[in-house]
Amino acid sequence: MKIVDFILLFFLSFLLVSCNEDFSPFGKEKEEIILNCVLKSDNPFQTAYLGRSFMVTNFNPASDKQDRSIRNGYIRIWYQDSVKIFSDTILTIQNNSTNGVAAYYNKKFVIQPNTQYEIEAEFDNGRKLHATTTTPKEIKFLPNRPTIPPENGNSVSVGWVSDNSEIFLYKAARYTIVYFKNENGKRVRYVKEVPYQYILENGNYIPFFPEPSYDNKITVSMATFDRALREISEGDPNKSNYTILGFILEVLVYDKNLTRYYASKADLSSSFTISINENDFSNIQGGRGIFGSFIKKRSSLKFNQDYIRSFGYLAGLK
Amino acid sequence: MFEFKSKVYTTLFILFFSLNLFSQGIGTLRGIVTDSSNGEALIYANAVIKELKTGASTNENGYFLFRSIPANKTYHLVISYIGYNSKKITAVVKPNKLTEIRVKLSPGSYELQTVEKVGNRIPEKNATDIGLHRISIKELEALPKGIETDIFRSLQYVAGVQSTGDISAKYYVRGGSGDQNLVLINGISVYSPFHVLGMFSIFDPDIIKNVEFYKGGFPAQYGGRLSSVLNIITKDGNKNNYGAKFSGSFLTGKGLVEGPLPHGSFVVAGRKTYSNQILKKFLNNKNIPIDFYDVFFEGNYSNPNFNKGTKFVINGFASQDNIIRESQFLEDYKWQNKLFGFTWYQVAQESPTFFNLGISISTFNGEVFPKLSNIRPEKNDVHDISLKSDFSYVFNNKDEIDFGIEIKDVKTKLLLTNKEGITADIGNAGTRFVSYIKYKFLRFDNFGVDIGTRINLAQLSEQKGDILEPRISFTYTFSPLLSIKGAWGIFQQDLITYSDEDDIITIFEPWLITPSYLAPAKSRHFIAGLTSHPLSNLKIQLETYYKKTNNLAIINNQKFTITDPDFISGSSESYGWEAVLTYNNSLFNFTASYTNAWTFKTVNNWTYYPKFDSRHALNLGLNLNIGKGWHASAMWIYSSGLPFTKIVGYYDKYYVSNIYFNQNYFDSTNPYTLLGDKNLGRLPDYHRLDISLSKKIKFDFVNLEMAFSIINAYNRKNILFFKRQTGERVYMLPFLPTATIKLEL
Repeated sequence: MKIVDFILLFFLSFLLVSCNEDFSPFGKEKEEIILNCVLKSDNPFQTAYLGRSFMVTNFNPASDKQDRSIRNGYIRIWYQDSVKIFSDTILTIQNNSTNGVAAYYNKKFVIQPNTQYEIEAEFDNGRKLHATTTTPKEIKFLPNRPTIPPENGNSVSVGWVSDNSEIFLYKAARYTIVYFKNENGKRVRYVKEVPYQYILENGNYIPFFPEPSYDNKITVSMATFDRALREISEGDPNKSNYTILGFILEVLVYDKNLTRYYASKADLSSSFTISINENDFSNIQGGRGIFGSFIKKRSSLKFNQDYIRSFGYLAGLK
Repeated sequence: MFEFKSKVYTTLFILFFSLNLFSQGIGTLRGIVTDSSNGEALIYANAVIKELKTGASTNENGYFLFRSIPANKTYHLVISYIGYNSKKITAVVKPNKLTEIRVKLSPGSYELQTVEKVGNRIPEKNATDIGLHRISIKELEALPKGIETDIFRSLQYVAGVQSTGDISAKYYVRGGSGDQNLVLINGISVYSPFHVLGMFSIFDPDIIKNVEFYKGGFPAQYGGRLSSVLNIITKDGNKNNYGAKFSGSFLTGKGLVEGPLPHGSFVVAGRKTYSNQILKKFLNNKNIPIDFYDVFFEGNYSNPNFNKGTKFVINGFASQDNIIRESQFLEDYKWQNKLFGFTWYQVAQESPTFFNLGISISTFNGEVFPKLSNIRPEKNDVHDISLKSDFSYVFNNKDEIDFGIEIKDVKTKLLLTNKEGITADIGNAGTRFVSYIKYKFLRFDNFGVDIGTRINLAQLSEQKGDILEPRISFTYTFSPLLSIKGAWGIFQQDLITYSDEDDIITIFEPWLITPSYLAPAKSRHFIAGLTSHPLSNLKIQLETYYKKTNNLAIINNQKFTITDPDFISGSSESYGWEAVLTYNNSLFNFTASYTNAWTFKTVNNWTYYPKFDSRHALNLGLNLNIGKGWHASAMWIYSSGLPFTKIVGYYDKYYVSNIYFNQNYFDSTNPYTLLGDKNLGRLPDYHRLDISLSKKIKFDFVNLEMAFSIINAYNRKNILFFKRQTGERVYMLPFLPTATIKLEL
C-alpha cells in the first residue's frame, strides 16, 4: 500500500506543473537607420531609400502601416571628380507592406564600369551614413556565338571572359525571347524568359531558374528553347499572331558588396535543418542596408527563321 | 624537458620491477564473472572478499583481480552485479600462484516474491572514477522506453549532460559542443552515431552489454576529444544456447540471433524502419521520409587448447539512413557508417597481465544530393584505420601500470559548395601516433591515484599541439561515509565537424581534420567531488568542474567570399556543479540529479551563451518492481530555458535575388528581423514526464515482453524554437503513447 501511495503522490505532483507558458521573443526595440541603394548600369534612373526600423509584436511586420521612410535626408554620391545629388523630391510608391515607401532619386545618373562610387546620407541632426561600391568591369562575350538552333549539338552555350580580379563576383545570366503579339490589330511587345531547364512534375512543366554564380557561361538545351517558344502561344490556336523578334542574352555582374549581400541571403539550409540564428550582411557604416552596383551586358543571338516558322510564328520584322 | 621526461621514465621503470619483488606467502586471485544464462562476461561486476573487507570490479573482459593476499587460506567471496542474483563462493589461494576461479551469476528475477538479493554496485574505496558514469543494459532497460530504448537519450538523464530538447538525441557534456564527444563501440570510433536527423542513436540496445561514459577528466587511454567519452561494449553472444529475439516498435522492427560456436559464440542483429508516421510527432507533423537500418555482428574464439587465455574477437557494424523524395525540387540525403574490427585479447597465465591488440576500420560517408533545389551539394567521406594495443600489469601491492599505443590514419574528404557556389574539397589527411602510460596507485584501500599522460608523437593536424596531455585523478575515502575525488587533465582535439553551432537540427555533421590555419583545440578540466554512502542503499555524489577550451574551430558565418576562411578560432569556458542522489532497494530505485552550470563561448571578442547553455537541470527517476513480471518506471526532466536571440525590430530589407525579375526597388523589399545580441533571451523552461509500464511473461520456450510508454504524460508544450517570420511556435514531443513488443526464443 505504501508503494501505491508513493507512486500516486509522485504522479499527482505533476498535475501542479503548467502545460503551457507565455514568453515574449521580443527584446527592447533597437532603432536603426536603413540605407539601400543599388546602382544599375542599364538605366540612368537611380534610386536610394532611407528608412527607419520599426517594431511590431504580432510577428506580422506588414501590419505596420506607418511610413517608415526618412524624408529629411541629403544623399550624395561621389565618383571621380563628380558628385550626384539625389533629389529631395520624394517619390512615393505604394507597395504591399506599407502605406507607401518614399525614395530619393536621380534621373540622369549613368554609371560606368570599374568606377568607385561613394554614397553619403546626411541628416539634420548631423548623423551620417556612408558606404562605397566599385562597379564591376565589363565582361567580354566569347566569339563564335551559336545560332538558334545551333548547327552542332542540342544546346545553346555562350561563354564570356571576366577580368581576373573579378572571377569571384556573381554573374546572373539568362536568355530571353523578344516577340510581338498581335492584339486587336496592335502589336504589343513582350519578353519571354527562357529558364535554365523545365522539370516535368505531376504533368506540369515547371521552369527552373539558376541562381547567380561564378559561372562564365550559360548553357540551355534546345528542348528548353522549344518549350519556351511553345509556351508563348500556349492555348492560342492563332500562331501567326506572334512575331519572334530575337533572342537576347543578358549577363549581370554583381559588385563585391552585392555578391556578399546575396551570398548572406542565400538559403542553404536543408529541408530539415533548423537554425536558430540568421546572418545579415550590411555594408552601411552608421546604419544598415546595402550600397552596391551591377553592370549589365547584352548580346543578341542569330536564329534560323525556319526554326521559328516551325512553331507557326512569324520570324523577325519584314 | 628531455631531462624531466627521462626521470619520469626511469622512475616508472624502477617501480615496475621493484614493486614485484616480494611475494613470499602470498598469492593472487583472479576470477572471471559471467552470466549463467548465456556465458557473457559481466563488466564492472563486484567481487568482495569478506575476510579482508576488500573489493574489486571486473574489467571489460569480465576479470577481477586480488593481488598479495595471504595464501593457504579459504576466503569467502560475494560476487554481485546489478540485475543479477548475488553469489557467495569460497576460494583457496595458493602461495606464489595465480589462482583462477570462474563465477556464474544468474539474472535477477522480476518477481518480487522470488528475489533474494539482487546485486547493487559496491563502491571501491580507491577507484579513481570521478566523472565516470557506468550504465548496464539492465539499467538502460529500466528507463522509460519511449519510442525506442536509446542509449543517447538515456545519457540526457545524466547530470552534466545537456540537450537542446527531446527532438534530438544529440548531447552536450559540461559545456562542450557535440563533436567533442568521443563515441566508441568496442573501442572503434564512430563518426556519425545518429539516425534520423539525430533523433536516435545507431546502436540497437539489444547488442549492448555495457556502457562507460566519462563526463570529463577521462584517463590517458582515451584521447582525440575534449569533453566526453562514451565507450559501448557489445555482447559476445550466447555461449550456451542458440537464441533469437524479435521486437517491434512504432518505428522499427528488429531481430537478433545468437549462439555458441566451437570455442566461441556469435551474435548477429539488425534493425530497420518500417513506418515514418511516428516521426511526424517530432517536427510539427512534418513528414520525414526516412529509411534507416543498422546491422551488427560479432564472433569470438577462445580455445584453451590453442592458447589458454587467448580470445579473438571480430565485429562489424553498419548503419545507413536515406531520405529520398520524389520531387526534383527537393534534395535527397544519404549517410552511412561502416565499421570492422579484429582484436586479440590475451590474459597471461600465472601473471596478472592483460594485453590486447586490435586493428579496426571505421568509415563514414554522407552526401547531400540537391537535385534542382537551392540546397548546395555536400559530400563527406571519413576513412579511419586504427591500430591499437593496450597492456596492463598489476603489481603485488595492487598498483597497476597501463600503457599502450594507437596509430590512427585518417583521410577526410569534404566537398562543400559554399554560398558563392564554389565547390571545394576542404578535407585532408593525417596520421596520429600516440602512446600513453599511466600508473595507478591502488596500494592503499582508501586512497587511489591515477597518473598518466598521452604522448603525441604525431598528430593529424598540420599545426601541432602539445606533445604531452597529462592527466591525474584521485580518490580518498575518509570513512565509509565520505570520499573526496578530483581530476585534472589536458585534452586535445584535431578532428572536428563542419557544423553550424546555431543549427538545432541537422541531417549529419561532416568531419574533417582541423585545417592548417588553426591549431588543435585544447581543453583543461578541473574536477572535484564528494561521494557519500550515508546508508547502504543510498549514494550521494557532488561534483564541481571548470573547463577552459582554446582554439575552438567555429564555422565562420561571416564567410562571404571564397578567400574568407571556413573556420575561425574561438574559446569557451564552462563551470558548474552537479548533485546526484541514488537510492536502491529490491522494490524500487530512485534517482535525483541536479545540475547548475554556466557555459560561455567567445568568438571575435564577443562572448555569448551557446545554444545548449541551461542554468538548471533536474531529473527525477523512479523504477519499480511491481511483481509478477510487471515493471514500471517514470522520469521527470526539468531544464531551465535555453538561449535564443530576441527580435529587437524589423527593417525593410532589399532582396537582391529579385534583381532580374523586377528591378523596381519598391517591390523588392520585405520586412526582415533585426536581431538583438546573440542568445541573450531565454526560452521557457522545459519539463516533461515519461512513464512506462512493462510486463514480462515466460512461456516454455518463449519470453514475451510488452511495454507501454507515454512520452510527455501531461502534454507540456515545450518550445523547440519559434519561427521569426510568423511567430509560430514549434513544439517538442507532445503527449505520445507508444508501445513495444519483444519476443525472445
